This record gives sequence, structure tokens and C-alpha cells, in this order.
Amino acid sequence: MAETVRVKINGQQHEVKQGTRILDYLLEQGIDHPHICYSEVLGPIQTCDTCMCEIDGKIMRACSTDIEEGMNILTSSELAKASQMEAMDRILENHLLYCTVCDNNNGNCRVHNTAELLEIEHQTRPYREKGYDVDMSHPFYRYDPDQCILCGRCVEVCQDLQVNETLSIDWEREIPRVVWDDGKSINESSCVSCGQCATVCPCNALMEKSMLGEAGLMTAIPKDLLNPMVDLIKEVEPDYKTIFALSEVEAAMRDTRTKKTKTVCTFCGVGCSFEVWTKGREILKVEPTENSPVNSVSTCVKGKFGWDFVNSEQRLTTPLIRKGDAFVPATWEEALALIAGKMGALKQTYGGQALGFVSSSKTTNEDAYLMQKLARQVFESNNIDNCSRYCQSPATDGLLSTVGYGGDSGTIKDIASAGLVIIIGANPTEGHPVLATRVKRAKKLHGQKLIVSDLRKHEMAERSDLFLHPKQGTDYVWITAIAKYIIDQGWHDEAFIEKHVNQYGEYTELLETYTLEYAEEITGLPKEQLIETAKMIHKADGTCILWGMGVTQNISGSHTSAAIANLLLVTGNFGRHGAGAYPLRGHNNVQGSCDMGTLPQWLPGNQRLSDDRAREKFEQSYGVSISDKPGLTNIEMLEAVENGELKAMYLMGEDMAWVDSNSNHVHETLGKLEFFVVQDIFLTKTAQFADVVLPAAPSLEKDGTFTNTERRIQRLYRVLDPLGESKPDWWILQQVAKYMGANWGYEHPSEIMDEIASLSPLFEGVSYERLEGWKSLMWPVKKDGTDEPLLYTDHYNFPDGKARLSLVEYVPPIEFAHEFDLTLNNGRLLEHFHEGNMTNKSIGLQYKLPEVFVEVSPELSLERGVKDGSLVRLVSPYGAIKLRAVVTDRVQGKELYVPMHSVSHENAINLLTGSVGDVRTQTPAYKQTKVKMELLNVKGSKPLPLYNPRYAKRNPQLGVQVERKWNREDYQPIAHMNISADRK
Amino acid sequence: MAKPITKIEEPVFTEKEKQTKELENVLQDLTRNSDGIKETIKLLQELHESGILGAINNLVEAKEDVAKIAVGQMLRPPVTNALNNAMAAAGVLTELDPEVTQKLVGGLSKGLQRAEEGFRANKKVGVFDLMKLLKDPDVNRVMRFSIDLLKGLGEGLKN
Repeated sequence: MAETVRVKINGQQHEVKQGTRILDYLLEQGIDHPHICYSEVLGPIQTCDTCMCEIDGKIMRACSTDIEEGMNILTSSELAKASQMEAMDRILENHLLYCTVCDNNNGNCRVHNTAELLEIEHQTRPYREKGYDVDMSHPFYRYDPDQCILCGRCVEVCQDLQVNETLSIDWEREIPRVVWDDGKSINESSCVSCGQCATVCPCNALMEKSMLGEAGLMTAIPKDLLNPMVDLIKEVEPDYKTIFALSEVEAAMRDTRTKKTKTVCTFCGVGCSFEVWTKGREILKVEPTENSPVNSVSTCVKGKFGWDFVNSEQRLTTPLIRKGDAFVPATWEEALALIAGKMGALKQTYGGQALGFVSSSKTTNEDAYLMQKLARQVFESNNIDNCSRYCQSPATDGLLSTVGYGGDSGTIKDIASAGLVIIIGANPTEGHPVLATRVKRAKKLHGQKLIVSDLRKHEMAERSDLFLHPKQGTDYVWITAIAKYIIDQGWHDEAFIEKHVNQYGEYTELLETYTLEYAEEITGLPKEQLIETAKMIHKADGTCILWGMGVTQNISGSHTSAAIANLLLVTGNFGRHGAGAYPLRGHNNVQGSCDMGTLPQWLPGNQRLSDDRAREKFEQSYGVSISDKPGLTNIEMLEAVENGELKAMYLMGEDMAWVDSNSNHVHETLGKLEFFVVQDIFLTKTAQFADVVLPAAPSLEKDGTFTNTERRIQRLYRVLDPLGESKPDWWILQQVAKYMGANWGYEHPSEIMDEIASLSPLFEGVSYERLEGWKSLMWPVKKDGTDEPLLYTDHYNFPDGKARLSLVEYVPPIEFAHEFDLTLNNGRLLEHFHEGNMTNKSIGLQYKLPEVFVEVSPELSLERGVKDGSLVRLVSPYGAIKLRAVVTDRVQGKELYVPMHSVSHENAINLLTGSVGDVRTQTPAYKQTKVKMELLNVKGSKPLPLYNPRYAKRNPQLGVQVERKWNREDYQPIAHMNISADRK
Repeated sequence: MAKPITKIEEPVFTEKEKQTKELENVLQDLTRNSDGIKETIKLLQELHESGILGAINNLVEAKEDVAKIAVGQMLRPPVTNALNNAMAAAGVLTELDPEVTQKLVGGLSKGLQRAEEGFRANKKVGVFDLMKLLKDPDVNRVMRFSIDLLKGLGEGLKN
């Protein structure tokens, strides 16, 4: 326990916890105190100097000074006030207060608010321009040096929070400014467009372009009118109080027009939350806040800027019915009646098992729950699955068989606080960007160790302490060999195993085969690297293992996932902070859609279909009998279509035609359905096969909840009304049920959540009240609302409370004919999401990353004469694609990489992938694809534009380096002393 | 065999159907706000007949040009001076003690009343009358006040 100290603040005695920063304490006590550069997340930056106090007669910064016993702190003595005024005066030399016609005049401008708090009336240093042009080069944000106060908040987030290491302040210039890399334009720099700099900018120097001329009532005024107006104000020289009064009136007026609504991001599984600012249907900006439980002020380019799809002209706005060779727009009544008629008749004739339902990992928990209810209650079918079948099922399976819960062991904070992070077959800087920033930060600032195992040397691999490059599909072997080596060395956690783990004896027998020599032979990893890995795990204070599709999309995906859990179990890395197993869920609601029972063998709340008591509960609630026989998976459904057993499918929010493997085959199969309903926001490839297409509403147009990769349930609020006749998925599903004669009667998604909570012990205590605003819950949630951010602290999810070491064996990868000599790796890139249906509607994203390509190693490029921009054809046993090459050392030898964000018959990756899947979950082995490459045209244009950040070199440094500012000859200290702060 | 189709038959509604639908929406809005609408129509008619509406329309159409002229005019030194004067005057006013101002204004209105009465009586004032009046406490108070005012003004002009 920290001791308390007694201090005097403005003459009053206070008892404060030792080590508290003065500014933190003042703010906590509700004492207004000026400050611009400081924030809780970033710590003291010490550039703005406005937070000066008088402490025992000396001038000190409130942000970087810890409270100490006996201090006499005066926050507004004459001396303190004069120092604060001096600091603000220096700031206003750099910043013109034209607030009333400024797009950042939204009540939250820190420069404005601080100047007002200080009751600034005039300035002694006149404002002067810095002599640099505004940088408008980037598609999403701009920098205006003339408004920049050089506080360095942007640099701090870029260097130490996002850790993309692009921004710095060039303190040595005559007039300093923020620079990108070594002075490039923003667009040509290594900037990955995460937008955090614009989010934390305390004024209008860095702004989202979507705000410019849009946010203010008078900011759209053209330059030739605006400039004289600003001149007028300067000429008339009103005191600043008048300016502030005017601008506040304007801010109050725009506040009635600008709507700010909290939502949860719809892209990856990290679960960032933020406010969306809208003006009518127009999105002004996305504004994350320090209240966001997962991401704080962080976002990635998609969450911050990737929302154009919501207002896309290609949105479906009315139900469509197939008539001949065209879709005919229809009313909801017509569409629903047709669905009920057709599907009702098929159910009558063939029974529920002739119908299949595919749910989405993008829709809300409530939508997903109703999808399984529609299947199980209305159509009496267990043929319900969701698209996590294509990605995460093996990870879930591996965890269920070992520790009992199919979810991350802890939170992203645990990952950040681990001594060692191992990333296997995942590329979080691109697939889970904000989560990756926390690992990068922990490594940069706190010396966290990082091991990356991947085919591809992506950013995390570059940053790692140890990069492992095993042969494709052999992860199980090296992971298990390390477990054996650790046990052989006596480095395992015997007490932990004794207390918490079953099947240890059998496991050690299984390990016999997995010697280092065997592992070296199978995986190609040198013995030394394996020993080094084992040592690092042994030495680390807590190990977290993160994994993704590089593990799961293999025929041994579930076995490898179990092997990961095994390794963590024998080293005691469960049930404590800074440790555990973290399958990185790929979509916003992969976790939730599985939790909601959109699975053929699971009921909502992760209750097994085979559990009689659980099933009875649902039977009673639904008033039908539910078969204990598991239904069909997505993959089995398509097989059943092929052999004529499955007659109709109802699919929600999934572009199966491009996302399932072996697309040619899938397209053929979808064409064989007797009746097909697709519910989506766009006329996707899948929807093109449908008989009825129903227009759904995206996340911004509905209420509901998502569950992120941490098992964290968060609420999203309706930002916009559904476009045209489109409707939230829960509404549509309820209507289908109604036309089938079932009256569910939900008025709001909160009532659906109440039903889920009443039927699932795991969600017993979940309610919309407990999730209000920024609040969130991590399941399991007890009736009293207690949640469990860290699992397994007292029991594993098995009847005896103990974990089980899995005894499954290694399954070697699929063999290909000799002619297919190149390994084809595939996956995501930062700028686009999944197959790209949403992100390819964004002009800015398309500009930065317009088309897919194949990454070719320098060695292979030399051997085959393939150059940057060459057009090649890749041929697998299942199909062929044609695309341009990018030569890069991110890949090596005979390994290729093709991004997956294509919906084109020319170059969609799944035209090449095969139909074989994971031995336990059938998840297609997308990563086990081999191809041959034909060179079609050597010369061609580069598919990756030169202004894509991947070409640029980063500019790493620690923070803003305020010491360089203090070293300037013209710097006059305000504080009694300037000391570099320990701020992390 | 269902072939993938991308063709959506358009137009869904004929122009006339679209119009009817739009009209329905507008009618609904109208009936919901009929009182206000009726008054607005009356107001618009008045504005139209007086020619004001036309003028406003022209003004709005030329809004940017007009604003440029207006701001340009305001940027002329006489105007900025006037604005500065107005603000300086406003500043001085805020320094005055409201109680004194109230007294002064009260006195002024009383004085006006008296003057009005005297004016009506149409009496001549001789030198002797003046001497006598100086002894009148009310007049004396005004003399004292005026002399002090002049003194203060003189001091202010000195700086």
C-alpha cells in the first residue's frame, strides 16, 4: 500500500497518496488547473508549460511533479499565475484564435479552453506565421503548421502509443514544426493513417479532412471572404473575452446540429469504441476518448476513417426478388411472404434438416441470437453455423479441450503487462492494429520480450527479439518440442501442474517423439532457436501466446491450438495476470456470434446441445422440441446441397461465395439451391445467387452489443437511421418469424439481451443498464454483475475445476503434386477488411491500397525474372488468378503472399484454395495452398502505389524529446527546473 | 440452377409513382403542422406583396458577394475606428457606478420637467434672479456637480 503524505494546497491541508502527480490530484479533486499537453494516457510531456504552480516558493510543473510530504502548493498565486500567463503567451505566438470560424470550435478545444480558463485578455508576443505550407497531401487528415502550438501530443502518440514512429518535432529549426519521417509530405511518409495524432491534437493544427468546412456554422466560407473577416477581427482587436464569448455562442449553436453517438467498431475483433460525430447522414469524424475501455484514444485507419461504405450508393435499400435474369425491387411484405411461403413449404415437405442457416460474425449478439432462434424454434433445425467456421473454430476447439472456455484468457492489458509475448501465425499490426500497438508500446517502453513465428517477416516480426520461420503447417511440432525441452530441463511449473492440471502423465508420454532433433527436421527451425525460445519462456514473468489464421487455417489447426494451451499449462501461464492464451478473433463479433449459439452443436451461452438440462430450458422457452443431434457446419451444408439433402439456405451478413475456400466450387453449389435468402448491406457475390435479397443495416444504423476478443461485451448505439428501406437484422429476423407464425414481440434489442441472460448462466448478469455508455462486461457475468476479466483464477471450466492437457497428435500438411512448387500464404492487409466489401467503398483506402498483388521474394524474383509490377498467373489444382507482383523481403524463398481483399473473378484468393479442412472443425486449410507461377508480362506498373507507407522508412525516437526544446538558445525556462520526466 | 445476377430492374417506380410517394410524405408533414404552415403562408404573401421577399431572395443569391462588400466596407479605417470607438465607449460605460448614473438620470428627468414648466410660464430671467437662484440649494448642487465634472474631464484630458 502506498503511504499518504500531507500537503497544503492553496492553504488547505490535503492527504494524498504518495507518488501522485499534482495535476492528477487537482483534476481528481475537481480543481480547475490549466494544462494542454498533459493527458493521463500520455503522461507529462512538459512542452506547454501552462500547468505551472508555486511550490515552496519555486515554480514547478503540476504535470511532472509528484506530491511530497509537507509541500506548500499554490495553484494561482501571483507567481504561478504569471508563469501560466507567460506560457500561454508563448503558445498564442504560434496559434491564431479565429475560433468562431474554426472547425475545431466544438467545446473541446484545449487551447481555447485553457486560454479562457486563464482569462487571457491580450498577448504580448504577437502571433506570427511559421513560414511552412499547410500539408494537404494525405487523403484523411491535414497539418497546418501555422496553427501548431508544438505541444508534441501527436508525436507522443505516434512514437510511444501507436508506435508507428513517423512523427517528430524538429526542434533545431529556426521555427520548429512537426515533421513526418525525415521531412516528407504526410502522404509519402511511413504514416499508417491511424489518425491518433488528429485525435489528440489540442487545437486545429491536425484535423480530419472530413471536418474541414463542415463542422462549423461559418467554416465553409471561402478563403477570399474568410481572410478579410479574420483581418477585421485583428483590426478591431477585441479583447479575447469577446472572442471567446462569440465562439462559445457558435459552439453552442453547432452542438445542436452535430450529433455525437457512441459505437463499437465493426471491423476487427479488438473492440475499439468511440463516438461518431454526424451532421445529418454525413460522418464528420470518429472520436475515440480516454473512456474507451479497450482502445482509449487509439484507432486504426479503418476505425478512424473507413466508414464511407455506410453512405455508399451501392447500399441495398429495398428487398429484391429474383425474376428471370434480374432482381426486381419489392416491398417488405412481398419479400417476407415469399420467404415464409417457400421455406415453410420446404420445412413441411422435408423437415427442418433440409434447411440451413448461416449467421454472421459481423452482426450484433442480439442479431446472432435471433438467427439461431429462427433456425431452432421456427424451422426446427440445428443446421446453424457462422463464418467463424472459416477462421476461429480450431482455436476455440483447442481451448475448450484444455482449459474449458473458448475465449481469451485475459484482457489486452494482460498482453501489455506480460514479460514475453509470442505471436504465432498472426499479423496483428495489420489484422488487429490497436492490440498490436499495446505490444509495441510494452516492448519499446517497458522492455517486454517478443517472439514471432511466421512465414512472413511482417512488422511485428521485424520488431521481434526472435523471429522463427518454420515450414508451413508445422507449428504443432516446435511448440510441443519446446514443452518437452522445458520439462526435460525441469523448468516446468510442477506445483501449478499438480494443483490445476490433469493428464500430465499421459502428456509426457506423448512428448517422447517431440525431441529438438525431430522438431528441427520437421519445422526447419534450428535447435538453437528452439532452445532460445524455451529459455525466454522460462525467464519471463508471464508469457502470453497470441495466434491467428496462420495456426487455425491448417488441417491441424485445432491440434496446434491445443498444443499452445498445453505449453502454457506446463509453464503455469494461466490464471495469472500477464499470461495466457489469446486467439485473436478476426471480426468484431466472432466471439459473440459463437457465444450466441449460432453453431450446430452449441446452444446460446456456450451450452452444449448434448446437455439435456440446457436443451430442456430452451425447449421450454421456445415451445418446441430441440434435437440433441448436432446440425451441419457451413462446409457440411454445402456438401448437403451437392447431394440434394439441403434444399434452402438463409444467410446473414457473410460473403460466403468469396470467403469460403475453393470459390469456383462454392459458386457452383450455391447455384444448386432450391431457395436462397441473403441478408446483407450490399449485393455481394453471394447475394447474386439469392432468390430473395434483404437489405440489412450496418452497425452504425442499429442498437445492440458486440463481444470482442477479450470476451468484452459492449453496447453500440444507433448513429444514423437505416438507409432507405434497409432494416436492422434483428428486426428482419423477427419479421420472418412473424410471417412464419411466431410472435416474438421484441421492441428493442435490450429485450433480446434479457432473454439471452435468462437462458445462459454465462451471461446471467448482463443487461443493457450495466453496459450503458462506455461500460462493458467480460463474461462470465454473475447475477450481481461481477464479471471475469481474467479467467481461471480459481477453476478451469470442467466439472472437477482442473485443466486437461490435450493428447492430440501432429497432422502433417497436405501434399501437393510436384508442379505446384510455391507455397501460397494469404491474409489481410491493414487498409482493407476481409474480402473488402466494406473498405473498397472508401476512396481514401482505395487510393492508399487500390488492388491486390502477390508478394515475391527477392530470390524468387531473380530466379524467375519476375519484377516489381510484372503480371503473373498463379495456378493451383482448384483454379487460377492473375495479378501483379511486388518484390519484397517480407517473404522469402519459394513462399508467396496474396492479400485476401478481392471480390474479383480475376484475383480473389479463394479461387486457388482447396476444400480440405481442419481435422476436428473442418475450417478450410486456406494456408495450405501451393501454386505454380507463370510470368505473363515482365513489365508493368507497380500495384502498390509509391505513397503507400510500406515503402517508407520509420523515424523512431522516444517521445517528443522536450530536452531539445529546452536546449534551444532562445528558450527561457519558466519552471525552476526542467527534468526529463519518467512518464510511462 | 440459379445463376449469379447483378442486374437490378430499374426504375422500380415510375416517375409518377415516385412523385406520388414524395407528395405523400410532404402532405403528411403538412397536416402535422397545419397551423404553423398557414401562418407562414400568410407571412410569405405579405412579404411578397411588399417586395421584401424578392429583395431577400436577391440578397441571398448574392450572399457571398454581398458579404465580401460588407466586410470590405467594415475594413475601411473610419469603420474600424467607429467599431473601436464603440467598444471603447462600451468599456467606459462599464466603469461607471450604476448608482451615480441612476441619480444623474433621475435628476435629468426632474430638471427637464422643471424646464418644461418654466418654458410654459414664459417668464424673463434677470441678473438678480440669477443671483438669488445661486442660493437655491437645488441649483447650487447642480453648479457644484458641473464644476467637479469639468475638473474631472480636465484631468482625464491631461493624460
